[in-house]
Amino acid sequence: MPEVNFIKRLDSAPKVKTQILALGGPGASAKAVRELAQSLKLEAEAVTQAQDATRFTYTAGQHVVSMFKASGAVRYQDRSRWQVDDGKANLKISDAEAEKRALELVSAHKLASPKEFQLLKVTRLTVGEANSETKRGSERVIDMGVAFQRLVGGVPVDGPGGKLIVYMDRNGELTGFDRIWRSVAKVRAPVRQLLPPKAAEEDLLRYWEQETGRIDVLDMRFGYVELGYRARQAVLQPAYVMPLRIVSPGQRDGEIAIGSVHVFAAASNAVGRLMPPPKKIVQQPARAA
Amino acid sequence: MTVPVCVGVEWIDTFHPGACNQNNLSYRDDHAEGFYNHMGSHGHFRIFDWGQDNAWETDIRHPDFGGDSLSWSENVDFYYFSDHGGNWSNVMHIAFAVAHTNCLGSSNTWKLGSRMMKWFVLDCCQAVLNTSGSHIWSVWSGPMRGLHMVFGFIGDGHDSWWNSSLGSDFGDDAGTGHALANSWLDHAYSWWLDDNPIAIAAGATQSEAINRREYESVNWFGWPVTATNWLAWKYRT
Repeated sequence: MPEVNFIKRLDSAPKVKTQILALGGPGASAKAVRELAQSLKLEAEAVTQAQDATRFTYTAGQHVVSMFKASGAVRYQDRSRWQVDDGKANLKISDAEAEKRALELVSAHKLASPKEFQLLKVTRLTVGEANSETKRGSERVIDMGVAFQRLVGGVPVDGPGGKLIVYMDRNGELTGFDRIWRSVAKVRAPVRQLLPPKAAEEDLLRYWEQETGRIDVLDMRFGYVELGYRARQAVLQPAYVMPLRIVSPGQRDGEIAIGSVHVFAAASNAVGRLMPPPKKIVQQPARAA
Repeated sequence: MTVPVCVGVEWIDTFHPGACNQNNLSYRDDHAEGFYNHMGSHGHFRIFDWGQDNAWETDIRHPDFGGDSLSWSENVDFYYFSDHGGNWSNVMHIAFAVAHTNCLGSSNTWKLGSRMMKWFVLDCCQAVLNTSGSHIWSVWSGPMRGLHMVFGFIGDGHDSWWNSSLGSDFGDDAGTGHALANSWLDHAYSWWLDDNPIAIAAGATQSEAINRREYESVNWFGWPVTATNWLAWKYRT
């Protein structure tokens, strides 16, 4: 049984209206990705379309648009500029300025309605170098990525999905975007009652009881949970999300730790479990010495 | 088409009570074997996949320090390691479930790239603790002895069902000739878990290190790093 420290807790269930929502199909197809690319006005002499097991792609010169079959999520990248150092960029843009420019790009490309999201974070892609003489680094920021978090009825969407990320170069021009944003088809059921945060804590203690060492529960967030690019998802429902830091039993010289996350469906009439069951141990035949 | 390269992976999910005990992990096999299998699906050579108690510390320790790296991690071009890691005193440590012959591997016993390894993924915590140039230099300039690039995390990484496709996603990109540093940063950065990845490239000159950082793919397999006079890195935070 590990030592569990709840660093930040929720005292009670949030007083917000949530529902159990049925999600629409992903709507991914060769036609859909082509239409999206055309709406972005991507120009090139040669255009190719392809698909593999996970996605449809539309390539126009250096421009690549992908649409994921399972989720309908889309990615656009200008491969000649996205995350690429031109050797000159040295962005000194505040978070507020970056957000403002990103909102202009979202609006210009009609990526989402501004009422449906809030700022999640502003990130910077940094490059640096050091050599054997100075042993110190010099660094430059070469792009900014602004992430927006989806809101459904004013409730934030947690997890890998429900995100719109806009990447910008030193001129504030779009170099790429990611959008994981499944459509809501209908209300499947109202939430009868939200379980108290204590129920989520008890679920966490049961789930992780075989561990040793220490688990720091860094936060408890409340929101809908949407999955990532490759996942099929039929239902959007509220949950408590707890980021964890798991610290191994004592090392002689330093600390070994890793992060994880525990998710607990918050509705008393939740559809299934969100957290997958603990995995079975994978074994290999013993290796010969 | 890409130049086929040799791939080896090691991973640990399950530890045991005793000297080598650590908290158990759940998705290290998905990460490492995802990379292994997806590289294989693109025509690359799958050389070894050692998991759990079969992953040994001697596989990465150089013979100058009594290890057997030349037969294993230095017998492949692309080595992917997924497990627990920790960084203290500017030395990277990785944890093993059994002591063969140590519970912890230490980067001050590694000579990465001294025979064949070109790319090393440290899919564990704390490849570096922060982004201070002197720290990055102190941790990695010594162990990189011909290694082209190392891929890891700043501070802690995560072991979660929310990022379990990291290895397969990176394997798909690496295996089809994408620029490696960009691909690692793309797939290892997590907007929802707050993972901050870093890619570090070596070079005899500044321009060589920068070129590798920006453009190197598996197709650069035949262009050796003749000296680690420069490191060039890239990270998203």
